[in-house]
Amino acid sequence: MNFKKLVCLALALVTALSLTACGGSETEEAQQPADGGAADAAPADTIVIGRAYDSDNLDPVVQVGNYNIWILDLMLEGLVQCTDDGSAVEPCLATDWTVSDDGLTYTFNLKEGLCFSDGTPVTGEDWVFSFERAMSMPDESWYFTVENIASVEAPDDTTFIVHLKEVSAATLPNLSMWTCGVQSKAYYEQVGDEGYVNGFIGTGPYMLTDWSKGESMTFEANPYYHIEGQPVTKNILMRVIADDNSRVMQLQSGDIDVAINLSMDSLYQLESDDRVVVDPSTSCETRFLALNTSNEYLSNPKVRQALSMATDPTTITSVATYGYGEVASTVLPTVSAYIDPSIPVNQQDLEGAKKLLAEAGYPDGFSLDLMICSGKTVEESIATLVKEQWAQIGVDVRICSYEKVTYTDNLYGLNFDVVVDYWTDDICDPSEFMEYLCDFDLCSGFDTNYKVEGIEELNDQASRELDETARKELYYEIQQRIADAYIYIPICTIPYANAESVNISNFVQTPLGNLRLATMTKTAG
Amino acid sequence: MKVKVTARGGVRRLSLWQRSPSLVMGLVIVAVAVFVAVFPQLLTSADPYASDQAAMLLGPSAQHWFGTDNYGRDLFSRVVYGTRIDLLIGLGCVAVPFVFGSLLGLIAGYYGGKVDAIIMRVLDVFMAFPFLIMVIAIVAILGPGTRNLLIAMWIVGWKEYTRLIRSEVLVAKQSEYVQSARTMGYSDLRIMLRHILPNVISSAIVYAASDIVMCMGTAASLSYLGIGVEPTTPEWGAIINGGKSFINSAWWITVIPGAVLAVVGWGFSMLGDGLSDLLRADTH
Repeated sequence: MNFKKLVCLALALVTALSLTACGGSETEEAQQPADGGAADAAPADTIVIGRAYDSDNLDPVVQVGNYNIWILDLMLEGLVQCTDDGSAVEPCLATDWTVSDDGLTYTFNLKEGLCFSDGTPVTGEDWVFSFERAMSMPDESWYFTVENIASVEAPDDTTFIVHLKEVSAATLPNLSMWTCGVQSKAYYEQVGDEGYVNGFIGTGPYMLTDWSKGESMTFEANPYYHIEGQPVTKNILMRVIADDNSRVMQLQSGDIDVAINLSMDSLYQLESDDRVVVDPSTSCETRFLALNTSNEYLSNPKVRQALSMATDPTTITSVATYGYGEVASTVLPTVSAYIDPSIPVNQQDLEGAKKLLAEAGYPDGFSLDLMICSGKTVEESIATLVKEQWAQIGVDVRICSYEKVTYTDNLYGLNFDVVVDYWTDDICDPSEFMEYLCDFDLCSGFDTNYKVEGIEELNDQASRELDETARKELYYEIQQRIADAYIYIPICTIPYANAESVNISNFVQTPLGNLRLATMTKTAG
Repeated sequence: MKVKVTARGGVRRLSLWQRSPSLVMGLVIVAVAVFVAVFPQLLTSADPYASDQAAMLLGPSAQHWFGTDNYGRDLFSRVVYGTRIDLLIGLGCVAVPFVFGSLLGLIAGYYGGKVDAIIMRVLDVFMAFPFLIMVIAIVAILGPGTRNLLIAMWIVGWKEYTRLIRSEVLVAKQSEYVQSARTMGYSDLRIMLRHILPNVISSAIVYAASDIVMCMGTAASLSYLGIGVEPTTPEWGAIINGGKSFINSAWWITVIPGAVLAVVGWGFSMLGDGLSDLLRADTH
């Protein structure tokens, strides 16, 4: 009996305590906005960003994966950088540059008085070290960005010279990549390759001060940053919140200020919440159907054209992306400056498609497997709508949803009929994607097992063409030839699904995915 | 004698409801489900596959009783047409293991010795793998789709029936009627099928009724994991899976099919419970 009484008493005490505790926090919360108002909406010190995955490797040369790439720009800068809208390259640590007459030597003048985030000055030695480290690792994924560099030299701390192996149109875009960012040589010598996985010292607006793997990353403003008055916000906390719904709820409740990696349907649902601003950022992430020409039916160009005519990418885009996506006319990202304007967005023509199918010898249609990766909502929506549209010309689609590993195996093994395929640019230049599209051996004609006549040569030419107009013409020709082969059905480019609380401003994500947060602020209240 | 007769008469006068209310309730629910599965077109005129851009994510209303999903498809018709698929999966998953599992159990129990040892060790191997993991592995090898899902469920589903029947056969084969059948010189086959099987099958039948519920649940969870039926199929688990990202704003996509799945599952469970009541009453 006594024991029971004791337990009861203890329980009552705990309840009472927790009630007072709650009361306490409530009054505190209630006071905060009032304080903020009094201080004339002073910007907050810390901004919390919720994302779906943690990074796994911050070594600029070795890392792969968006969860690393997206945050590298916070800490790392190079000679040049891609603009916020992803359309061009602009100066960053270099103020200006000259190109030799033969196009093989680039001489950069650097900003004076540059310091790393630990306060040590940036020397020519650091520049040479950073480039030579990237150039010494030919097996890494980003080696293509430095492949064309023959050598680099730094005659003094404000001049940096890059010697190329051959003339290339993509030199500046390549130099804007993270492989060409300047890092502290002294820090590298201290920690080595293993330590580099956990971060490096660069000149970017922020520095990584704490990383609890799988949970959060803490960034603090770089006190030596070379732009006066930036970064505006002192601390940025990146929290890993894997579940989409949880990220949405934490954003709504104010536990986090920005939610990234959301899904299109979360964005759509957040539209009605006035505490939150939906901010779909333009991206280079495309979705298109790739037709595997190893398939008996799909080897027939008339069949491919008929399927293309039966597809209505405009409807698919508006339903699958809730109108956030942009319907595509070619497989290039819609933000690209190299899209051939003479190729129209595909228009659905069911009668024409039926006629073509009959001419091809399949008046009653046939059946095809459409492969998607399971758990991806946009892909699943695209597949669902394609099935509905193709059924109207008698083509019976079986949607095969595989988990990631099987999906990738099937994709590389060309073990599918049609796939909802994707591409994401990493560099603000069409050269990376064009290489994959035009070099048949890289990925079996980009998952189609079809060699488009002459595009490999055209691409070689384009990569060396320095005249912008002539280069565009070459890329137009490639796109035209690909379109005439009917091996892809372009669908859309989907945006990065971000949402912020209303008091956040200047949250920037470039179309390549890089987070630019130097001017981001949060007003209190 | 007189007492016995009244007692029997008393038993006979009890209605089915009085003898086993759960059986009646289960029967009613299952009967309704079967009716819906056989005549879905009587209940709804909407096409469960037809998307409508103008009607995305609408809540329950007079026009769309269960609301619409993110493609603007009518959820009521999807749930109604889904009944056939889920019942077929439930029954289809159970029928094959029920027959083959029971036969294997009969053989193992009756012959004993080496035959028993081989069957039971194979069974142990299957037992060692967790049910769901095994199904996922098989579906991954065979590829997704309803047919392969059924095959996967057959491969893992037989072992309970074998165990159940084997243990009953071990008891039954010692009984007098089997001994006398042996003395009469009946063949093994005749003794097994005509004399032992009818006496041991009731426990397997009761188990099967609850197994249907489990199979429907498993199929639904596989669809939820994205490796069950083909994505556009209006299977209940697949509908729930499709709605999970809308749980904050469009609860009807997950909650209504979930409730329907729960009610039908409950119905089968009650049916199994009632059957066991009935069979137990008969044997006593």
